[in-house]
Amino acid sequence: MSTDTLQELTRRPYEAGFVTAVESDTFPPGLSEDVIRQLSEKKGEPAFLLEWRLKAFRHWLTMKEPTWQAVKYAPIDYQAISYYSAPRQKPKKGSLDEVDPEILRTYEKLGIPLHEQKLLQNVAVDAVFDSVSVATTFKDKLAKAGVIFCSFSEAVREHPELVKKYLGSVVPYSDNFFAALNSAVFSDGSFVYIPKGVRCPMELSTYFRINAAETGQFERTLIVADEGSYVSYLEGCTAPQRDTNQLHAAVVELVALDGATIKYSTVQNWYPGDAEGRGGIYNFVTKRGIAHRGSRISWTQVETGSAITWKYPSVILKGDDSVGEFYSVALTNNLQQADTGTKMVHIGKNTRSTIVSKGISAGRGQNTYRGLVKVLKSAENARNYTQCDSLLLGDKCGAHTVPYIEVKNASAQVEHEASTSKIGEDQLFYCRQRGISQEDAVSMIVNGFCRQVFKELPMEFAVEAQKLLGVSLEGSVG
Amino acid sequence: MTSALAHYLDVASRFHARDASAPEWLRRVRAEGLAHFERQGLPTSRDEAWKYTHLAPLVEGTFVPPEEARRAGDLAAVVDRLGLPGPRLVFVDGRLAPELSSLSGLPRGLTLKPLRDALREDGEVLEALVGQRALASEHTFTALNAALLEEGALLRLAPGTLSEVPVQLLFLTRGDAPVLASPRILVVAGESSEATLVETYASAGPGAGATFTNAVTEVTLEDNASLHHYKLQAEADAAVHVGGLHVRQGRDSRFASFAFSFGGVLSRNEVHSAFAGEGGEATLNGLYVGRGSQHLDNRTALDHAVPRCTSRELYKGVLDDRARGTFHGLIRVRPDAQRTDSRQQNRNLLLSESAQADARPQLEILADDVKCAHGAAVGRLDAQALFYLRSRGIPRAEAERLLTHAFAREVVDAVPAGPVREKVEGLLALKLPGAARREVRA
Repeated sequence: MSTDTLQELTRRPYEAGFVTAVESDTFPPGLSEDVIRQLSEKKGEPAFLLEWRLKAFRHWLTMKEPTWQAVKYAPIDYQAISYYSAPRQKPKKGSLDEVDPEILRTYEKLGIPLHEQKLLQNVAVDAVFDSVSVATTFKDKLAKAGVIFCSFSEAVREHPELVKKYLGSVVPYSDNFFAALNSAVFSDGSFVYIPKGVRCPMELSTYFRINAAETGQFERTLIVADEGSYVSYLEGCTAPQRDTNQLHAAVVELVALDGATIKYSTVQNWYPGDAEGRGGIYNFVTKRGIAHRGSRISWTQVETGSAITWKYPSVILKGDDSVGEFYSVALTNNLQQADTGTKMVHIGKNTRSTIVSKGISAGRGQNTYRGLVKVLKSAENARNYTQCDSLLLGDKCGAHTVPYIEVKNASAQVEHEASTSKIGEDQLFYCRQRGISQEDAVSMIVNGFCRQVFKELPMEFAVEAQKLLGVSLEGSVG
Repeated sequence: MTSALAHYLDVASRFHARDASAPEWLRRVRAEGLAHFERQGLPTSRDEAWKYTHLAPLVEGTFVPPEEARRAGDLAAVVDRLGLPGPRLVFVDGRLAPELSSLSGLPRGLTLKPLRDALREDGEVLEALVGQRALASEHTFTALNAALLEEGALLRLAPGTLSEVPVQLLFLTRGDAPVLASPRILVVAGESSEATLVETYASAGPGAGATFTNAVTEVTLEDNASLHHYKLQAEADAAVHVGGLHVRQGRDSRFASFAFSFGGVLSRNEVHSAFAGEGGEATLNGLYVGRGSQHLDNRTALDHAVPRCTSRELYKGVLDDRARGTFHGLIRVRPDAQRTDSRQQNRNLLLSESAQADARPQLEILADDVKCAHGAAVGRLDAQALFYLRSRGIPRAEAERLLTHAFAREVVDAVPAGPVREKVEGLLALKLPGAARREVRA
């Protein structure tokens, strides 16, 4: 395909890049114990949480920013970030009608169905606008099932015992540089608790959106699925178009107790920066789940946005017979960089994990799969299958595969396969010969390449993911 | 500074003082080697390239290079057992043993010289070769080797030379003293030449104590040259072995490396090959068989810097008892290296509950018109295959032995039939668990 077509097709603008004019209540930039105290006070948090934040902050001060990853960025000035930004409005709303119409319009533009009766009737949305949860839908129906689905701040107020028990139990505040920072300053996020034996009656969804300039988004998600329960959780992300970089350092913790299933799906479409690499989100996220006996944790992610994506959704397979899954499509175009993958730590007997990673590099994008499969001595009969495929579109991009496999138990069976290829001339020719346009042919082939992952996504997301991939990539074959 | 590092710095400084009359360029190479070694120090498991390797056996010993050549008369039987027909140089505890070596019957166009002689006679040639492929600035053990540069071999093939007999370099350690051997092997294969080089590392007794071999081999293949390189490492259980093979391949050259790691409490074997001309082919094969508490570590790096080169890689590990096997293979495809075709496989067989395997296959791809694939697997013997054999009346132990042999044979079978394969089969038969001690004829 000619370079012209390639450029034309990859030059599609970022469609979620508008700014919403909402007055917000924002801290001046800077980070200190005082800022944390203020933040905690503003949110009316109990003492244990403030203590935890301060411990995290003190630990963070002793840590160095990691440098091992295959991504490059200018040093971040942590004192130049504002650690709290909330749309300024009335304290708490009884119904959607009270939400600032500007914000609702933003979500409408993004296609997020906040109104219950519309389009996606079966999705409860907890929308996070900058740092404060704006509105939560479907509350009643969920409450009937005993499901707790609320903003993190609300959970701290209403269910402190659950928060205290599980916060930091999967990702301790000392885990890594960005997790420590998040623990110190996290502003809000989502909290989910599914009681014993309950199958959550609908798919839960959070939509994150970074609006204010110069703010970092540090949200925290905690999902606890009690014994034998089931939940499917969707997370989508967008951000306005700006020419400075914004940091997004989130932490997601999943706890799947005996026999529970958590399915966590992400479609990440943060602003990736322009074609020259100006602006864009730094998406440095720690996501980890702990799987107890007979439980299952499944991560599915479609990463098309962000200037830099750097995350490894992981599963600690602690209980016997637990299952971990990771399905990922990561796309980098222009000057985007992605260093993503997973960790599967097999501790229990008969634990199984599956990793399917599809990396697509176009433009001058750099795409790295980095993953660890670790089978400990105790993990009798552990089983892992890993497949990472890379597709290169253009001769200026890069694809890297860095798997680590550590096996300390002979009964384990671990397999890893990886391949790198481009769209074959013969494949394109075959399609064109049958009257399919070049553009459609490429789109079809790329979708075929990602199919294994897309089929893991819930219906609505699969459609969105395919569209996103089209926007970011369509036809960019060299 | 760790005491081990201080020890090796001291060893090198004393050596430099003793050999102060060496030519200026050689003193410079040694001094630079020492400086690079001091700067990089001994690696720890915090260094990414040594993540899975614990250097305790190396750090705990105080190995020193023997000052004098050691008497080696009683080793003739060992040399007969391990030697191949054809020219060879034999080294005992890191020192050349002329009485065991044989330089008769060298084909025309082939030069094989002990490094000591070459340092005296071919100073200019060596000055241009030493450190060209193996960079002391990047590899700390290469730097240590450079600091102690004295022994080794120079192999040169004039353009068009076809050498049918393998050239052998046999390195023996006696295990009765904690010696440090630092051989440097320099190979230049002229245009359209062909040769086979076998490096054998073995323990000859009488002792079974720890020794430390730190070998560096630098190979330059000119256009259309071909080299088969074999490394048979079957040292004693207490030995520490670190080896680096660094190759630069010219246009249409062919390089085949076979690395057999059977011995040592700690063995680190590195193979680095860089394509400098189009149309090159590299085949890297390896087999590591460990038992007891051996740690066998393999590192390969293929640098596809130019278009249209092909590489194939197969590394297999058989690990019994508490043995640990590590494989780290990097394939780098640079932006211009279009139409690269590269495949890498690493398979590990764990035979005991306490055996361990780590695999790190790694792709770094910056060109789009390429075919690259890698695979890695760790597991134990296939239960179905075992059942199949047992259902035909083959006892369990025998069935396991058969399957283990079959697993390892894939690498051995890639060795062309001949005296080298016979030696490999002999060593493997001694090494594989439950192996019937019989010679297999090729």
